[in-house]
Amino acid sequence: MRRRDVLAGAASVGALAGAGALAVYGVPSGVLSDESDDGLRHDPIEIETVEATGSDAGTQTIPADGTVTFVDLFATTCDICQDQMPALGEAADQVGDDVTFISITNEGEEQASDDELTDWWDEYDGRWQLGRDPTSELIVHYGTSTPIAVLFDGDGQVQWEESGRKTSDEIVSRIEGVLADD
Amino acid sequence: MKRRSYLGAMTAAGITGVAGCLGDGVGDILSSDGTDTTLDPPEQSRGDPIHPIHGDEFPTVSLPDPLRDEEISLEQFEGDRAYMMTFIYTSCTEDCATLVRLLSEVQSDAAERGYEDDIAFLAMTFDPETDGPEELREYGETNGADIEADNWHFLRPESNEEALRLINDDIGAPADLENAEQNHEEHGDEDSDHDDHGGNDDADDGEQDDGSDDSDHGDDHDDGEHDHGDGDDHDGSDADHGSEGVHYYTMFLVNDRGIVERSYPNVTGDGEENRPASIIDNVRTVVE
Repeated sequence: MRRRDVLAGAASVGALAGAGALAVYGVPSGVLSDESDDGLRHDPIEIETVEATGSDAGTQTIPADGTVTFVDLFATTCDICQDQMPALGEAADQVGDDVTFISITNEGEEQASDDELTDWWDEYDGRWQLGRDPTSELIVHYGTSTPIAVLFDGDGQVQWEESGRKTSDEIVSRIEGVLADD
Repeated sequence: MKRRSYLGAMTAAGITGVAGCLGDGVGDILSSDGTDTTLDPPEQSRGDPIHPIHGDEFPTVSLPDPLRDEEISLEQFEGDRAYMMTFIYTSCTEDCATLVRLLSEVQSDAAERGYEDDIAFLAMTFDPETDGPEELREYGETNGADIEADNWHFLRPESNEEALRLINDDIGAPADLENAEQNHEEHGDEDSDHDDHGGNDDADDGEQDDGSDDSDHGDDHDDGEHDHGDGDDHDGSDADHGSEGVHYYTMFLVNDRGIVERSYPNVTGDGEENRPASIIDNVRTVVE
């Protein structure tokens, strides 16, 4: 199923979930937790990526279109998130090239400046895509109890979601499982 | 502890029909079950815990806001705004931080959608002896809260003893200080604590306590909130996230009539009802 086509269809019909509806109906009371039209937990969200080791500045759509997407939601102030970094690194090394693999913090620049963020990233040996979600657009659908791992299949459906510390084996086997099924 | 269920005395029949036309103020007085809440009861029953749940009056306590140096009485919000209340301490860097972050996400939504004057965010420390105004300020800022906003209040009881009594007895959301040494001394034999707090066995999330009313809290959850200390569980290495098990970090959403709309007894846990998006939807509905 091509998600883009479905979204375009939804917008043209003026379905409440679509952005087109805002123009027609004004700001709706807007149920944030409703599923998007194609059964995803939310419409794809564009995340700002930052320049850091293994990461370029730019944007990344979550879930990524057409690939399996693995997201690590974290905060630099979260101790377990620090503890989680080695396992993430191992997983990134093993399967990072086969999927969209990204760590995303909900901290804006006031809470963690670019320098603070990249210092933290290097301290814990981050070497894959790094992004920010300062307005919590993405994280609001998953929780605030970081670290949270979210794994989407190629169609953007959430196949795994878990907060707390995970081993690299766990992360890798989950990713490989979804890759195999895709 | 008395928990009074408040059945709305509103004349339901005549008003319901025009709720849509009159818009704000009327729509949120009535809900389909005729009680004084906007939201319908939650899908998952909370069983019969000791803490206030949907439809109950929230205890009206009065506590200092140390950053503004003023006294905040929960009663002052009646007729003014809804509020969300939770319990933290700054040495708790994981789940308590999550609680503050969660409140800050609702706070951001409120600012974005213009309902910031219809809601207040109350974070009460239960380690006031460690958490002075500066500690609280930093904790709030680190975790993304807009502490300068009028709707944010840190609340700081006079003493740890008062704080724990408030939480455990008055409110019934059992809590314990993981890292505080004094707590280990205060609590002796585990069994005697169970006698004292037997009533709190049901205080945790009804869906997780399978009616094991007399069970040891230690069985039910790990280093989460329980109202007695066993020295074993509280060494330095067992941070509040623990190794496994659930953590009972509670948050309340109370409407502007002082009635609980939602209790979130394990709000840092997984589950659709705990997602910020769901909670934000609840809040938006309550304030509209």
